[in-house]
Amino acid sequence: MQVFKVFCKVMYKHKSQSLMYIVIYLLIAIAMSRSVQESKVMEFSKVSLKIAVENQDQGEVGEGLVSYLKEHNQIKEVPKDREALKDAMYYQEIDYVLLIPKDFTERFAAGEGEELLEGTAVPGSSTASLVENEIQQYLDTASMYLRAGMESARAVELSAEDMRQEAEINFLEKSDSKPLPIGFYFFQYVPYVFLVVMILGLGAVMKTFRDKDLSARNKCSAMSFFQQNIQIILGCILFTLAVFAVFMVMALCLTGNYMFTVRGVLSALNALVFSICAASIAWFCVQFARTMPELNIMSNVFSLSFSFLGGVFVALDLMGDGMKQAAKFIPSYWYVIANRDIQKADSFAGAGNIYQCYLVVLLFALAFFSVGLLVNRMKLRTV
Amino acid sequence: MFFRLYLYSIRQTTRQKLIMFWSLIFPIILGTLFRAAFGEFLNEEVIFHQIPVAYVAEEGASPAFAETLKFLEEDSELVEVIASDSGEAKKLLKEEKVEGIYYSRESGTQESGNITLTVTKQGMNQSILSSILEQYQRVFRTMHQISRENPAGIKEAAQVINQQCRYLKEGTISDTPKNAMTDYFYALIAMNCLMGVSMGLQIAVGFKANLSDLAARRVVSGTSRLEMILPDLLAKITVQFLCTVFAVCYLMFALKISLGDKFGFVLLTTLVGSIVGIFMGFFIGAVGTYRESLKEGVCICSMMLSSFLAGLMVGNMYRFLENHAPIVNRINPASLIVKALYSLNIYEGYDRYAQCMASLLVIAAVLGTGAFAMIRRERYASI
Repeated sequence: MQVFKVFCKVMYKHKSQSLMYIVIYLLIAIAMSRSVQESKVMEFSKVSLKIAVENQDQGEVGEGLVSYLKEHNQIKEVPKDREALKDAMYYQEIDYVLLIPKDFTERFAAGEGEELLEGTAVPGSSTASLVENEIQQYLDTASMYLRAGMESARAVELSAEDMRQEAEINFLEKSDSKPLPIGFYFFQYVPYVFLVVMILGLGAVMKTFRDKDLSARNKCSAMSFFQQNIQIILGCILFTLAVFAVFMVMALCLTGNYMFTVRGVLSALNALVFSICAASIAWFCVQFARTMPELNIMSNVFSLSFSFLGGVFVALDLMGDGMKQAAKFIPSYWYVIANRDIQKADSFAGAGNIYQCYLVVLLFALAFFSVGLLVNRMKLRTV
Repeated sequence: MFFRLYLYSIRQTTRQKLIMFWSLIFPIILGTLFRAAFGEFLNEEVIFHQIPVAYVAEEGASPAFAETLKFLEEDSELVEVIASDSGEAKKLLKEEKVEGIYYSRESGTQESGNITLTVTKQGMNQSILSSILEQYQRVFRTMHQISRENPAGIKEAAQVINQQCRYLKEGTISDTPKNAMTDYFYALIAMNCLMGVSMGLQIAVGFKANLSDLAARRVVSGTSRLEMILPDLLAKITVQFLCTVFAVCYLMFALKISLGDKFGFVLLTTLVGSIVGIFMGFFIGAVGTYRESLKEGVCICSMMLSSFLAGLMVGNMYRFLENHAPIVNRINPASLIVKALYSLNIYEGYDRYAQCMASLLVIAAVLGTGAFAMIRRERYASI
């Protein structure tokens, strides 16, 4: 096992670099999963926003509107001057500013409606439309009562009651209603991390064996070519398993019991399958990269493009149809699909489509490996 | 002397293919990936697809909701209704051919009928379906109240539904319309500026006698190191700045991303950003006597980490950090560049922009001084 030993030695020599990447990307993955999980939780529960209201109106409708908004949101004072207001919006102390004019109730009751109120949202904020929708619906309801000839006090009272009516929403299966576990988010970003670590770590070691003089020396050795390659492959397997093991330990620490459920095991399998694919992509890259910096470039190009186009960073729902079709030719797409479907799986037997995804990722691994092998052979012939 | 060294350094830098790839080609690849991944969301009019929904009506269910759905399907083109029985609907929902199921049951007490929505996940389409139902039930409830308390006014009240009055006037805090996706492109520009780390590292390597022959020669020369470093620094900043300008132009004119109309200030931001990027690499390179490959790894990692924290991979990162660790947003160069570009396009005054730029310049000064302090008068016992 001479070659295997050398492989391990070279791997050990590169340990600091590999470890650095693993630690940094682990930190990134953890921060990512935390931040995304937080924003998702916000999205699904009734969002509470910080709304600054300046109510100059003396009548009931303005007051009714403010107390209605108060039910779900935090109401704040509007800062005195414009600059202070801008500062508050800049540092996101306020999400929305609502200005109710002096004679709002009278004008509203008289049937005026268009652009009576002034609302300012933090530019680029998507949550602002929720408040605008609430205000619009409340005023529509109040307007119906007023038009029907009711007193404004009564209209406000009834509108608030009507607005409390909420649609009854059921989930087809109980598990659908639960928020996604942290395990889902932890595994979501694994493709990015694996691709970078594999291409840089594994690539660096494999590249050493491809050094022109060294490979010429190896070729004339007594050990058969087949033997040498088998030992190199063993080394690759060891590295892949080591990286995989590090991530599983992290997953255990972060997600707790999740790893001991059916879904946890399926997620781990999914990551293992992808790590094989990442290793074969690393093998593919090594054929083209002559130096370490070139390998660095390839690792970034592959990891970022596979992550963005495969739905790791940008949710697949946000992509156009054409893009989604194109994404099917990227292994990380199938990983993401499997990761999503795992959250619906209850048993190993009922996870048919997940196994299909594993298979597709494995086929990608085979494809990258074969193309790498082909390039390798062609290069050997030209030497 | 100064000018000649400056010119030589520019020539030398532009001939390094790898560095040019990082600074020139990589941001363009990433920009194109962004555009491909969420191209639809950057268009002014988001292409809207009708949401497929199943409608299951039990015997004796109120026909009013079915009529509303028909209106929404034919006139507003908001939903695509598939009427079916319960079993078929569940199958469609499981196969994700519909986004939800409306069940309409007979109800003796509720006038609006007993309608529920069943879904499998919580997403944008599900929110729209639930708000359709909610609005329907609220309006029904309102009409019911009016018919009980003041039946004569029901006709006037019904007119409100058809009128669709917009009560809110959009307040002005900025004139530039802003898309939430633009933040990704700001982060991309920030990353492009910080790509200067590789060039900055090259400067340091040119003065570290244990890392390059050129440095060994320079270290023994009688010329002041500041005199040799300055033209090198200026040349690298020039090249990096031109690369960033090229990428910004590519985003604005080829990909048609709106970055506001203050083009001059955008360029100024990229200039300061490039200076910070170069100085960051220069500083990392100047620390200790570590191998170049390790320093390069640290450079790439810190650049990626900084860009990640500014929202390159996950959009809402800035807000997350503002809530949990605001200090990161004040000292992270990429976040400062993103915020500078943001405030430039959103706010009328230049106060916040100036604040960000000042912070960036302070960071550059600290890094530059620190790096130079480590390089000047450095002596080697042996190399």
